[in-house]
Amino acid sequence: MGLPRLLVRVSLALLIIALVFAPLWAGNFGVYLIMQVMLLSIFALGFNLLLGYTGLLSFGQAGFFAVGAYAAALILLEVPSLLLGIAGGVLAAGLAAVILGYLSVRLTEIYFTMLTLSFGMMIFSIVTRWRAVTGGDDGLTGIPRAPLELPFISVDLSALPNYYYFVLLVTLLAIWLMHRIVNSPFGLTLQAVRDSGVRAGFVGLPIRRYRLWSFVIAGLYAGLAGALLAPLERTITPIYSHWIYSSEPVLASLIGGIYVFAGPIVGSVLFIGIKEVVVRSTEYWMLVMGVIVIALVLGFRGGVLGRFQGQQKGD
Amino acid sequence: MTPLLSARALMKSFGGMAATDRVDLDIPPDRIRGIIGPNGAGKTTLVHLLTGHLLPDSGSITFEAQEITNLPAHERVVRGLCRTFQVVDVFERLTVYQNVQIACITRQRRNLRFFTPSSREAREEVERALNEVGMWEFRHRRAEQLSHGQQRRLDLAVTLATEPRLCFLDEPTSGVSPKERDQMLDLIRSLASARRTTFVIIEHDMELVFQLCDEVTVMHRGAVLAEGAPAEIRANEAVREVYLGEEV
Amino acid sequence: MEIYLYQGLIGLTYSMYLWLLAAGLSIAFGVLGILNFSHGALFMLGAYLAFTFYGVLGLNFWLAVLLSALSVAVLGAVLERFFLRQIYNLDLPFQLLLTFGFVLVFDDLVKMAWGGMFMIPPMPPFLSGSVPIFGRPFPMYNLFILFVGVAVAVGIWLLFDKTWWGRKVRAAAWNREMGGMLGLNVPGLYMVVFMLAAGLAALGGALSIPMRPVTPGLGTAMIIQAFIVAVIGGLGNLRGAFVGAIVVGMLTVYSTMLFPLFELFLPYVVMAAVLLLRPQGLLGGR
Repeated sequence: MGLPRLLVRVSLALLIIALVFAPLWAGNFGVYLIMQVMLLSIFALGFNLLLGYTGLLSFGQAGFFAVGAYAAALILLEVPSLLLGIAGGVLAAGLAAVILGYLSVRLTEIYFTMLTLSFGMMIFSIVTRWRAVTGGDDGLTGIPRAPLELPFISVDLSALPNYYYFVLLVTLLAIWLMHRIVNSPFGLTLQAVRDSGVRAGFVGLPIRRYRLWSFVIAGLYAGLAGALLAPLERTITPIYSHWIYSSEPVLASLIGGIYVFAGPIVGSVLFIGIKEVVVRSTEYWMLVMGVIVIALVLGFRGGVLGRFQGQQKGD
Repeated sequence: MTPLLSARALMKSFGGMAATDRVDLDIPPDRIRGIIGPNGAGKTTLVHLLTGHLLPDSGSITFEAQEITNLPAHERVVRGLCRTFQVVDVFERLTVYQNVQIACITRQRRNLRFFTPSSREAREEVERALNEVGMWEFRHRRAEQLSHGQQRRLDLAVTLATEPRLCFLDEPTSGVSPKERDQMLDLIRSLASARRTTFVIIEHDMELVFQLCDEVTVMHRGAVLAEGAPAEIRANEAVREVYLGEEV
Repeated sequence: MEIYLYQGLIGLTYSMYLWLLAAGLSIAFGVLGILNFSHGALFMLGAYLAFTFYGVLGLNFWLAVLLSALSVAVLGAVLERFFLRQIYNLDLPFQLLLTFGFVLVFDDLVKMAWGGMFMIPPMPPFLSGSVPIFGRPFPMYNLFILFVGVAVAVGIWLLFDKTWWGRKVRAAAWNREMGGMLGLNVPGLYMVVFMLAAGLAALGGALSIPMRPVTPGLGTAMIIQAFIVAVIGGLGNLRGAFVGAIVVGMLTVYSTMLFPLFELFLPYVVMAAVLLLRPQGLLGGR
């Protein structure tokens, strides 16, 4: 086991170094793409805590993403403080997840999926119709990349590379935190609930409570991804709350592998990468994605990382 | 001796059919009890009611002198009342080690630790529980990779790791080989004497129950037909009639 | 007052579209146990094919509708035989994802074949015009749709409840082993049932073309409507789907009229409320 683990650590270190120097080698568009990957990774990691670790398929995660994005945007349009905006977005999404999660975890399987779909679309309806606050179909524009206010110092983030470093830092933190969570007693508890709800009840677990915890963490991560998106794009529209957008973390997690920690991250890289490559030669990237999804379900349900899973679970 | 668990007038019907019909039952501590009866006699429904998998239509259940009639299953487990199912049910994607560990973590109420590694939790307890059922050597295997007999033993280890005062085993030997069956019986006997756990075995195989149990309850058509030591039950006319009637 | 009655008729027309749409979804879920995410895409394919047969090739309207329903039914046979048949034993997320893969593929195929434009073919002459009802002109085509919706409901009911074939399907529903033990050709039955489901979706799509524009986004818009209807009636419950269609159709029409701000929101509220209070649906028995 020693060598592979060392190998993983060395490659991780190299990857982080490459990411730190990305503004030097990737150009503005490359940096923008990497940020897309990072946001989708955060979004998908949260989603997969629900699917891969808790066994619940949500088709309404875009709702929480949008709550995070709109709350952050509304704060940033009033108060030019990035931390306040991001924190506000995350908290708002968390609050929404507590309320909707409390109701959602009463159901399981297809009924849970349908309920999250309808909750997500309720948020979409609100976002589209509550013009005074959300700007309706036009969305919110002119969201500033406000400076990062730290004690004694204020960091200007208006240039894309500056904002990139902020997003990189937050993403690494979010990944590290999620890694701790899934390997903690809490993470093990979720997996037990996933494998058999009845058995989990008969080791003394109130399973709904743990499903709710998982739901809320997934909502916080979706909110974080949304909140980080607002200052990146500077414009947000209702499409981020639509169920079609909810399918992005689903696809990313599935492509990477839902039973491996890094699955959603690798899946996000592939999802955005494939889209980018295909779009260069043809506009029909969804077709390619669809074929990949069908092939994955029929052939390798573990995703691209699934093949290594047997070894991983051993220790 | 005050009973560990008692049920009074326990009633449960499905679509007008009484699955358990006003059942009274007392389980005294520290003796292996068997519950037998032909298929459809209401044994499993009774256990579902006693362990909280189902809630009764009427009647009451007390455990260690406290009323638990409508308590959810997980709260009964915390109070020391646990069970296995007829169809083996383990956490299949988790390793053998983690299967038992989750029960220990839950008993110690450490589930809401978010940031510490779970690998450090409850090491000694897990090792002890797995050694007890002879599964320590398989600890790294995922539960879905085990044979059926091994899964049965793991199921038992998980259940025992909740440290139950009273433990129901629903057909613990169904679907295992004759050799594994004898091993399982020895295991239950030794566990019963080594721990302060009272076992209740639910079976339709009379011989197994007579071999293993100190006391036997016979159920028929949702009600208790007879109760007593194995020798008494063997001699009981009504019981013989029910069983002969079923077997012919 | 009359405006409410008139709007009720308009709502019923919309309900019949929803019914044609949700009937197939419900049949597929009730018999095969698979919630088909691509059902809306099949509806859209039906619409595009009918547009081509009728609006472009100039075929007879009836023939165009029939041909598009049949073509999509054949496509359904292919989907069942080569894809769905391999996933009946998988967990729900994977089943849902496979059919979601179809959505992505069909959406782009449609764009490739027909482009991304809005297209509205002419109304068939013998169904154009209107009749006065409640003092207002009510389109002939709406009357026609009302008639088709009821006819399909009666037809499906007769097929499943009154024929030997329907009995066999009900025996094989959800439980392949049991059906196999009874000596039924379960794979064959499942394939035909899915063809029926796909054909119904396409029929709905084909009949919708004189009323609403055909666009590549049609599938994703329709599937969500189908989910709402099927959930409200009870997933897999055909009679429930009929009732669900009427509930959603009426709700949409009257809320558009009375509180337009909430027209989009309300169906989801009803859907969520049904899931939480009666997950088996309004007509579900369990």
